[in-house]
Amino acid sequence: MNINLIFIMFCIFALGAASGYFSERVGIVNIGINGMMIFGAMMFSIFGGLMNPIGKDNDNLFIVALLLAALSTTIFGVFFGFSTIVLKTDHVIAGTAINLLGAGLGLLFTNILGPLIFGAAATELRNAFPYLWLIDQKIGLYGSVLLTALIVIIILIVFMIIFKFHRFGLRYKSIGENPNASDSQGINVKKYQWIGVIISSILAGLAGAIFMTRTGGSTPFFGEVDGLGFMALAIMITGSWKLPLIVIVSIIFSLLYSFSEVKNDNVDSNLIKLIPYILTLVFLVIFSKWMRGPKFAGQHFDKSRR
Amino acid sequence: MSDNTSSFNSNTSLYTNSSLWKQNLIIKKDQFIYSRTVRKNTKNTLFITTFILLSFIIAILFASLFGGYDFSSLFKSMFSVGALYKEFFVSATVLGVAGLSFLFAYKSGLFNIGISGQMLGSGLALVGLSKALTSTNSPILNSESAVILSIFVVMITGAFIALISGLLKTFFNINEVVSAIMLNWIIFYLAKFFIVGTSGVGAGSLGGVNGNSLMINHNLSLYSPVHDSGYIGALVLFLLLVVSIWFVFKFTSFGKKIIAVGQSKSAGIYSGFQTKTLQLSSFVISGAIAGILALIVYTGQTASTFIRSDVALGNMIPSEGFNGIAISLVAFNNPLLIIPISLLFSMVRACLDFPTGLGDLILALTMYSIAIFAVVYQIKPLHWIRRNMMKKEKYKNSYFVYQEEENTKEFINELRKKLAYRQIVLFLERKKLSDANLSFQERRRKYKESQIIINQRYLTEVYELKKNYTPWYKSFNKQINVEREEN
Repeated sequence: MNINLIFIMFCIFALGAASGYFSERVGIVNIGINGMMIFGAMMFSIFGGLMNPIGKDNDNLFIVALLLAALSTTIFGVFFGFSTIVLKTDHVIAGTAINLLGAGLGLLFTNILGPLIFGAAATELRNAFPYLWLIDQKIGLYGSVLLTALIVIIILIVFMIIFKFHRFGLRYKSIGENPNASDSQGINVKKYQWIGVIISSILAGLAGAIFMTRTGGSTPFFGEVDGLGFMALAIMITGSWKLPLIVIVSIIFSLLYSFSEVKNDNVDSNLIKLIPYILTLVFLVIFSKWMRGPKFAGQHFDKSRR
Repeated sequence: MSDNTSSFNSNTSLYTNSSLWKQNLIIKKDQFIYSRTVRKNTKNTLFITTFILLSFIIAILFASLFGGYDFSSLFKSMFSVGALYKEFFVSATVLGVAGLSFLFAYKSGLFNIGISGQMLGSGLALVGLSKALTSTNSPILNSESAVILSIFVVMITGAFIALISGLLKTFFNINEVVSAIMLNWIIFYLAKFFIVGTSGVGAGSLGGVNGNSLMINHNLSLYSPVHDSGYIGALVLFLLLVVSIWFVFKFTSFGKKIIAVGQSKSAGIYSGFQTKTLQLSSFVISGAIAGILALIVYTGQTASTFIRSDVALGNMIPSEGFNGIAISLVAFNNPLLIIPISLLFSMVRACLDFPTGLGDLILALTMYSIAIFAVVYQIKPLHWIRRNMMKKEKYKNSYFVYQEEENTKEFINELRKKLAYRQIVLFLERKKLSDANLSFQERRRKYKESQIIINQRYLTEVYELKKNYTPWYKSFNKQINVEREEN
């Protein structure tokens, strides 16, 4: 098993699911995680190509590129928030639009910008940063992978503490249950919803950017993130809208996913790849009784409905 | 008093003089423009059609400007290349049928994201059927009417796959989006296993050359060698589906019930509908339509009818289902509106000069503009221009407003003068203090003292001004009162 892949898949799944968690806890169903991830991956490869051209050796800048890609995805968050919070369109319609927008932009720009940034030989945008700082020869663990995983874990722990103990997190969760009640207590619901949507987009963009670094080589970007955004959505629901459970489920998923990448002569690899999906369905059937999402998810906040 | 009444009579006589048909015309015109129901309906239809067209054109312009493509070739290539119309119609039906499939589930409030999976599954079943029939040399394959059999098979498999996620929804309350996504991936990997798999029971049993699946028999497919395309069969199926779905939602109680459940589930429960069975059946029918989509996608396009290699080898779920979601939502979930919209978008897809990504981008941009459709109701440009750009606003009682403004002009000017004078005095005071040789504390104290005195003076002046000032309308009242007192 490739240990780097386990860490990176964990980062992608956990961040994507946390992105869904952030928007759903303020009552906004975010189906557009996949589109946001695609945009993040595209921006990461563009920034990577500009920062680390073929002749130069700027490999250490990969964290800057990750952060820039994550921050630039706020554009999608603003689009999504404008349509859902301000104009009160159906969340699912807006999310589908974001998904399509991400895929369309990715498909178009990867062919246009690829030769411009990476030289005439390249037909697509690609990852510019290799793995760095080899730690252990036997396992093949790299320091850069560990660093990104550490950053993600720290982010997740901070989120957990905030949502368990801090005033901000408790107010945040209250909006997902009954925004009119929290509005009556003087909480600015729309402000919290905007914060939620934008943080959600940043996390999804970071997940997409990390997706590009998954192999450590110059992997081309085909305007897709292999549907991992939808997987993240499923993980969030399997984790029953709770951060600690989400982290556990994403660890299991990352293990299963990287296990299915191993080549085995006895069993077909496609059948092994089925396992996580079937397991999720089984999980969902077993634990569906105890699962309960935020009550207000999918509805529009209306001040006059108090 | 008597003068007043006479003038009133003279006004009404104007109306009696004008002819009757003219009056009727005016009333009709008023009704058409100002009647609430008529205005709402016309406004909605007008807005929707213009909005879709406008957003489509803007999206094309935007994308072509961004990508540097000549958008006029969109129309040129339609007429210049002779054989292109077949591809155009097939891609239009693919978009349209996928949209119809999504629409049927969405009317009952369910989100069928698994159209792609249902399509792939029924395509796989079709390949299996073809293999089984050819290996046994069955006589069914000799006649062209074997298409009916394949339609049945495809519909049943699609419905069955949709039934799984529908049952999970009704019995275990699992979100249909999640279960459909999972089923998508499960079917995708199963298809890969059956087509390009290497080890295991039945692995690669449906595989053909170049990583494609086995060929589907010609008589089982929509493709006809006479036309060198399957576009006629696809169009017939598409139009039949559109008409029947429109009929179901317009005239049958089943369709009306589905719409009611989709609008409000609790209302459906209170009025005694079996909401769960209604939702389940709509989802299953949606899956069956997705099966027909598979027949069009895999057997309608070219002579070689198989599941294409990019499905089997690539790592992507086929995108037809996701496009269908967009088409249905752009058409505002209206089955009749799906026809022109699918034609519109297939125009971009069939155009050879554009890269493949552009069609998706234009669809996405139109989709987003549909998502922010509510802007139309919130932004009122004409009203805004009239309010901000034009200097004179049209009030209902503009005479009063004019008088009021004239009257207040002097008062406001006086107030401004007073304010400016106060500022000047304060400035002079500060300058005087800063020139004097004092410590910081003392200077500040002195300045504050003088500030208080100046402010008090200013306030008393303003107070006196306000005391003397009477608004115009109040003076009007006073005059009347005075007159009455005299009487």
